Amino acid sequence: MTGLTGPVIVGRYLDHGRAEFYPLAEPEVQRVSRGLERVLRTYDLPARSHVLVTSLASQVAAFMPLERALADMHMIVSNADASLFDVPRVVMYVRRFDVRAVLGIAPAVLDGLAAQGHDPAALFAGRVVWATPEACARLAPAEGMTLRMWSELGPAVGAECVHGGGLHVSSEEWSCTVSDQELVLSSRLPKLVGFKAHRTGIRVASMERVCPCGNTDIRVRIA
Amino acid sequence: MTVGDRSQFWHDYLEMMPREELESLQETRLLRILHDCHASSPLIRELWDKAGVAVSDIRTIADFKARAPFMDKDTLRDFRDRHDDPFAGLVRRDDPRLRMVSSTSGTTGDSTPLPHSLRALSESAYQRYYFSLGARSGDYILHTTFTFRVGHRHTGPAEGGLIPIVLDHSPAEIPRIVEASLRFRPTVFTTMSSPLLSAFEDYFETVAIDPRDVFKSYKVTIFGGEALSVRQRAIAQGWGLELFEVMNLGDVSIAVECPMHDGAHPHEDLALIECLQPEGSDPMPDGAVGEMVVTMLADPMLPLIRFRTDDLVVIDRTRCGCGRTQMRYKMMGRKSDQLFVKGVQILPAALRPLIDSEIESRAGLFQIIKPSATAEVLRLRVGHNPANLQTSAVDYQARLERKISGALSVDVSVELVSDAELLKLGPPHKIPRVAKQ
Repeated sequence: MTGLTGPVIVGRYLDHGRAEFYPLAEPEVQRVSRGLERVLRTYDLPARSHVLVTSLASQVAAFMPLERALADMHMIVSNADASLFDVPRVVMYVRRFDVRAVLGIAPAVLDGLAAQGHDPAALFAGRVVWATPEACARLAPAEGMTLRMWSELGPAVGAECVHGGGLHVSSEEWSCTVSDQELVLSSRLPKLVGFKAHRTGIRVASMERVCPCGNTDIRVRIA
Repeated sequence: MTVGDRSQFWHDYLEMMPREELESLQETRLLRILHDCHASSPLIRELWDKAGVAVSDIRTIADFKARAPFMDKDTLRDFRDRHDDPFAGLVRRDDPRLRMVSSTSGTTGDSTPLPHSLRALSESAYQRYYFSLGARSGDYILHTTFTFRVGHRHTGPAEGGLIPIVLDHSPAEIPRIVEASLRFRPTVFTTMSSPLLSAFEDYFETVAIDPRDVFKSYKVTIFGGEALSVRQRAIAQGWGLELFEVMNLGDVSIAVECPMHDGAHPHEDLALIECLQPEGSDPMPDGAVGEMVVTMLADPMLPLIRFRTDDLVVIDRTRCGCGRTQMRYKMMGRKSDQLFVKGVQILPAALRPLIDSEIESRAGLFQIIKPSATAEVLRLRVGHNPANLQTSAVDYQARLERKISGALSVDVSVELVSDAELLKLGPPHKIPRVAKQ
């Protein structure tokens, strides 16, 4: 008996770039959500802060738990596609509303901003920004925003707390090891799709347990 | 599939209640929400005060229709700009019920903010439609919507025990959609759009896969983004897909066709719907074209009260063959999309079948060039697939001009561009059908 009922959602995870179907049961969504909430709380965003989430529909396995966490933290949430097409909506939300955090910025959004003549440094100034590793590298020279990394890590999801220094990955959900500098994941608790020593193809620079934010979820620093 | 197979509704009473009872329910909800909105919405208070109407003046739906002031998107923009209020006065920023802000597509101008409480009305509305069309607990639904304005919530399917398989709305995702269809055998496909259907058409022409096998588990395919053409419905039918159009209900919710395919059923228990003279305030009789005016009855966080939608519709309040007593309507086009060429009214819907019936332009991508409300010549920008040209591009352009001119009795000038060029104007599920230049 796993205690899991059927899937509530079928998303995808990337296995060395290939999309694999990823059914999740309600307890899995809840656990991932709690892990992300632990990270989000380190930013001390007041309840009822306006948060903009940019993502792709197919990233539901990572973003459904994130949005659950934001709802549980009583945030006001808006959404935009992380695509070239939806950049006007991103700009509209950030400029018009008192958006305190923009979560999920991907290279496509930065490409769209550039194509439409927007400077991301000016747009995101004063806000918390979670960006993918590639988008993070592009935004790194910009000053004035609290830039932190967020990433899908194969079937897992990791996010930096306010202190940065590596992506917190839920230690309830995953056992993380490194083999030949590659992140290897094993699921610890019952999942509809379990993983045993799953090689993610993601290069790791270091892993640490203790974080100044007090979260004991392991911190993975991507190479 | 026959109607009888799908005669169970998520709320049998609501869908089939006598119209007198429905109107009584609407009146109860209307009076309640008016008090709430007047107290919580700076915009509603300003509008009603300016019109000299007090909420206490409204005791019946008839009072409301006689006295309540109108609003439209310009009203929202005006309030937003005058008060530097991003919520356009719809709600107060500090209202504890405010939990989510979505926005309109911005097709007709800049996006309009749509505040919500913890869930948008459309979330539960979809579940009502899925159920009435035959989806049942434990079924998979293939979910590839072109925008997800209310995020990765999927609360509607969760209510019904449906399991969404979520994929991006992109032609590049078609192999995955095919794979998901074969592996999970979903019963609902939501949402098919013109570009996606066109991409499927191209895909099936290049692979040795039988679309009827791929799609054989689907009971329902929701089609949205823009009006469905006769050709598109026929193509989908050839693949074994029954398309059900989804329409916007004035940004309050959505409305979906029933198996009779004779218009979309809005949920009148959630919205009061009027069909009025497009340039006036008199009611239009059922069966005549008028502008849809909606009033939210369910969520005070989105106080669209007597909201002129710009949508031209024809309403039918007779009992539907599906069993519903709730009205159905057909979308005729947007009021602001109308162009009068030497007095002849032109709407995108009239052009679509003339264009997508040609192999060269079967994707049905085109724009009406409308620098002003009237014109001497109908100017069109029409997309085509160069690989499908039967003769030269110049010949095709001339042939198309003759065909459209003959059908609509106006002079026509066509600028031919590639489909790919027009698709860049996105968003991916549709292109703006009217352009100033």
